[in-house]
Parts: sequence; C-alpha cells; structure tokens
Amino acid sequence: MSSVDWRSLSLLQVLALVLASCSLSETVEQQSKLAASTAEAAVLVTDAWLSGAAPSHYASAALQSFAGTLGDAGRQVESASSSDPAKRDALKSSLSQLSNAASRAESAVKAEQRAQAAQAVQELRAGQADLATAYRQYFAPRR
Amino acid sequence: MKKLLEISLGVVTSVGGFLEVGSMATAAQAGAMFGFQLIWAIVLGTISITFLVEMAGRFAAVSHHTIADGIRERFGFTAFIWPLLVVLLVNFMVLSAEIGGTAIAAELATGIGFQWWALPVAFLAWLLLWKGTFGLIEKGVSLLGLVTFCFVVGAVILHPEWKQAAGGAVPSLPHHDAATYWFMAVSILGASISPYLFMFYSSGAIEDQWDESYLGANRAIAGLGMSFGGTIAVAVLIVAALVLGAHGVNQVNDYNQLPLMLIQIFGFWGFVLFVASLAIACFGAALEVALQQAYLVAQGFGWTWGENLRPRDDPGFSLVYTLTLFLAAVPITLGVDPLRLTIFSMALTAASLPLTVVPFLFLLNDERYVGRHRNGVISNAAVIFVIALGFVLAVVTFPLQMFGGT
Repeated sequence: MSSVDWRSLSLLQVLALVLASCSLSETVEQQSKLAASTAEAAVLVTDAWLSGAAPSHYASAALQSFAGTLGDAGRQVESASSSDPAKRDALKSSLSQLSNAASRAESAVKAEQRAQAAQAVQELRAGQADLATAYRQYFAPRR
Repeated sequence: MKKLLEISLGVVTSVGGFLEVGSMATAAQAGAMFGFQLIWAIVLGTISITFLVEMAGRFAAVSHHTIADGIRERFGFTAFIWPLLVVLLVNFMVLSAEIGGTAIAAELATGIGFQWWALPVAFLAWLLLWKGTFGLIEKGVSLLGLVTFCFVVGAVILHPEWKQAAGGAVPSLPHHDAATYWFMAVSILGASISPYLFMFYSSGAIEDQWDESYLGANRAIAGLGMSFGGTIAVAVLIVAALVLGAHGVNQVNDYNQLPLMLIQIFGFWGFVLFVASLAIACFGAALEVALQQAYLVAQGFGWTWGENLRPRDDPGFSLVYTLTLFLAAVPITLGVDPLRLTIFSMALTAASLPLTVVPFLFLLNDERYVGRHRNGVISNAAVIFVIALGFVLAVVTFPLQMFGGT
C-alpha cells in the first residue's frame, strides 16, 4: 500500500515537473515571439518618425511602451528556470539589448536627434539578429 | 425618389456604424497573426448580423415594437430580466471599450495619456445625446464614419493576392497557435454579431416611424449596409496582414502598433486617417451603445423613451444614458488597457449571443406581431444557425480566453 502511495506521489511529481517545464518553455517561446514582433514595431515607428510620417509625441510614446514590453519580456525569461542557464542568459541579454535600443530611440525622438535615432534603428536590427540566434540555440535539440 | 434617398442614407449610416473599436482591433490582430486565414470569421459574422438586422427592422416596421419591447411583452418581465441584465453588462463593457478607443485616438492626436480623455469623451457624448436628436446621432456621426473607407483604399493600394484573400473566406484549420486562432475567431464573431447593433436598429426604426412601406428599404439597408461594413472590416484585416504581418509585427498587443497599418501606406496622412477613423468610429459606437442601454431599460420597464424627446419628457431614459456613460468611463480613467478590454468584451459578446438571438425565433414567427411577414425557411434557418453558433461560442469562449487570450 505504502509503495503504491510512493509510486503515485512520484508520478504526480514527474507530471508536475513536466507541466512546469512545458509552461516555462512556453513562457520563453511566447516572450521571445512577442519581443521579436515588438522590436520590429519599434523599427517601423522610428523609421516612420525619421521620414516625417509619424509625429514626435506618438513615436516617443510608442517607443517608451515598446521598451517597457521588451524589458518585461527579458524579466520573464530571466525568471524562467532552465536546464541550460547559459542559453537562457543569452536570450535574456538580447532582450535587454533590444529594450535599451528602444529606450535610446525614444530619447533620440524626444530630443529630435535624427542621427541618434538612426543609430538606435541599427541597434534594434542588431538586437533582432542576436535574439533570433539566441532563440534558435535555446530551442535547438540537444545532442 | 425620397425613399431611394432614404435607402442610400440608411446604407451609408450602416456602413459608418459597422466599424468600431472591436471590429478594428480584432481584424487587425487576426490579420497580423494569421494573414488572410480568418477572413471567413468576418464573412460569417457579417452574414449573420445581416439576417438579424433585417429581422429586427422588419419586426419594428410591422409590429411597431422594438425587439426588447417584444421580448418583454411576449415572454413576460421575469423571462426578460435575464437577457436584459446580461446585455446591459456586455453593453457596459463594450461602451467602456468604445470610450477607451476614442480616448486612445485623442492620446495619439495630442500625446496626453488616454486616461485623461475618458471623462471628457463621456461628457461630449452625453452632451450630444442630451442636446441632439436621433437624426443627428444616426446620420451625422455615421456619415463621418465613412472615413474608415480609407482602409479599403489602403487594401487596394497594397495589391493583395485577391485569390488568396478569397481563399481566406473558406474556414480552415490553423497552422500555428491554435488556441489563439480560435479565440480570435470568437472575438471577430462577437465584434460582428453585436446585440447592440440589431437592438439599436429596431429602436431606430421606431424612432424613424417606420411602417410596412419600409420593408423593402429595410432589406436594402440591412443587406447593403452590413455587406459594405463587413468589407471595411475585411480591408482592415488585409491591411494588417500585408503591413504588420508582412513586416513581422504579428503580435498586436499594444494600440501604438495600430497606426502603423496606415502610416506605411499613406505616410503622415495615414496617421491622421487612422486617428480620425478610430475616433469617429469609436465615438459613434459609444453614442449608439449608450443610447441602446437607455432604450433597453426604458423599454424593459415601460418608461417613456425617445432620443427626439426633451430630457425632461423622458427623465428615466435620459438618466440611464447619463449614468451609463460616466460609469463606463471609470475603468478607462483608472488605466484599464482599452485594447485588452476590447478583445475581452468582444469575446463576452459572443458568449452572450444565445440569450439575445433565441427570442428572434419566436417573435419573428408570431403572427400577432409580424402577421404575414413571418420568417421564411431561409430566415429561420439563419436564426437557428446563429443560435447554434451562439451556443458553441458560449461554451468555448472562456476556455479559449484562458489559453488563447492575448
């Protein structure tokens, strides 16, 4: 009887572990996808501002909001436990890079500094590439 | 000639009134994430609402009762109170979302946070309802709503693969994010088959003193007006797919992403057009939903009602829209995200459909009300289909909200 209890307990533990790891990897996947989409929106808004198609108040508010979303995504990924912390940290680092670039774009728009805004777009692009690489590595099948 | 003019005006106002924050937000999210794949949900929603609006207009023109009136009289007050409470609650959330949509447009235009705009928007809406007439609300604001036609122009400029877009009108299984796909489908259906739309339409027919001579006009207005409205919603989806989705912005979870749809096509004027479309469509819908709340309560309790009456002549009716407008502004003032509220309220609308659509089956087949203008086989089949759809939506909405909600 006692062994049956132990077995069902360990079964439950395994199930809980599997569900938790699924939900954590889902969090990482969702946040990475959200970040990739938000970063692209940040690029489009900054480009629109640079070409005079978006007013400054809108562009800066949008970039501030996008930087916040990217920062949140980074924090969520950081708090997700992982079997490979190095890969998770690489993902987190690319998200921080994107959040910082969006913040720099926001500051540049607020200060009406076109060169800095263009520079921030380049940083966003670099951050997107890093995120894509980190994402591929995180979800790459283990050998 | 006069009737033709009325039909044209009716069609125009239906088009102007069709697009609001719900249809705009759900179509944009669906297009950005799933391309043309969810066009079928808009088509299905448009066909369903066309049938319901035609029946609501026919019922009002022949029986001189609104739908709410008919439900109370036919089924008694005890049976009427449940749909009344549910519709009041759903409408309240939709109204809050519409005020939020107008407030977002004001934020986009001025840079001042949307929270600060909710009460002024509610006040302006109240002032129009207090001082204005039904004609002003129905035709004036809805005519301005034609600015939303810019999405159709945008879609044409983008040269979509029309064959592929037509393929989206056929339901298909999702290739990824299944729960989100179905949740989006439910939200689109909720945004299209809004009970406030057909209930407002029947009250409007009474306000405009329709009789049996309007049955042809009613059919034309319902058919053409809703079809054109649906076309604009499809255009929003196409633009979102070809601008946002194609650039990789496929998770629309921030209202700041929405103006990009038109900025990419029209430049700075795209921004202006988006702000104007959002403001006018949402403000017009806010007026209609606030009026609908007052119609529902006044008709339910047998009070005097009518937007053309002076407030002192229908104090209860005026008090309801006054209270509703200001209370609905509170969540937005407190900072509730209008986009999330919109998506949630559209899903809730879908879940509440059976309560509002089941009575159609009885009222539109009751000779005491509609005489020889009873539903035919096709109309009854359409109502049964919408009821069945409503039951499915009521069951699946909340699980989908949990697993696929954005």
